[in-house]
Amino acid sequence: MNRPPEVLLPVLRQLSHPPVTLSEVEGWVRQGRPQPHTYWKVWLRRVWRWPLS
Amino acid sequence: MQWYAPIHERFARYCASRSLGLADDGRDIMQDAVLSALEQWPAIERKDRLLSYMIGIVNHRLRNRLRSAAVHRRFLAERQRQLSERLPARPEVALDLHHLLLVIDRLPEASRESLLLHTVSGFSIREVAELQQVSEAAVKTRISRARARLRKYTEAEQRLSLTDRLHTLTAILL
Repeated sequence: MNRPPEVLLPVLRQLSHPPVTLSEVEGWVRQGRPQPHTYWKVWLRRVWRWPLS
Repeated sequence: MQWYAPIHERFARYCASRSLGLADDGRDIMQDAVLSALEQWPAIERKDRLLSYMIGIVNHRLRNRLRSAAVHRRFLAERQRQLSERLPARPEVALDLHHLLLVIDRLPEASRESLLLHTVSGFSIREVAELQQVSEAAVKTRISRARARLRKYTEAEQRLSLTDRLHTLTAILL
């Protein structure tokens, strides 16, 4: 490391964008956890980035 | 959601900084933390402890996910790749950040949490103290010790030979 932590930590802050917006979180809360029968779709989306609706 | 809205961005930043290297940027872990907090809502006596409850879930899920050595190796490689991708014009800064995060990973959990909550998420010292249920002086000590440790590693790294650094840089660029 050539740069001191004082220089790098603000860069880390810039790179740590919130991955979701507040409205997305509100969507999760309305929807709740995925139902068991949809787990395979979630898995496909995550692993294969399958374009499922 | 009234309790959550004011802390969303800062909590999300904490999740993002911890999950840098995961394929979904930590969305999954964040979702789990929020939904678990909601499920436990009636049972939680002190609602002001919800944020620390969620942060605990994030730390726990991440630890579980990276338990396997192979998964951990892939996570580190992916983190390095993501850093290079996000800082395309500054590969040296990406490399430095990669090393910094490796040192942050090795910090004691309480110190790492204090450092990230204050410097990355943007919580004040008083808020971090309330979250961690310790005094403000203890939080300041944790952060200054964490910074000192990071500086120590920085100095040690600077003593590395030029060849070593060129070798790592070439590995990233190619």
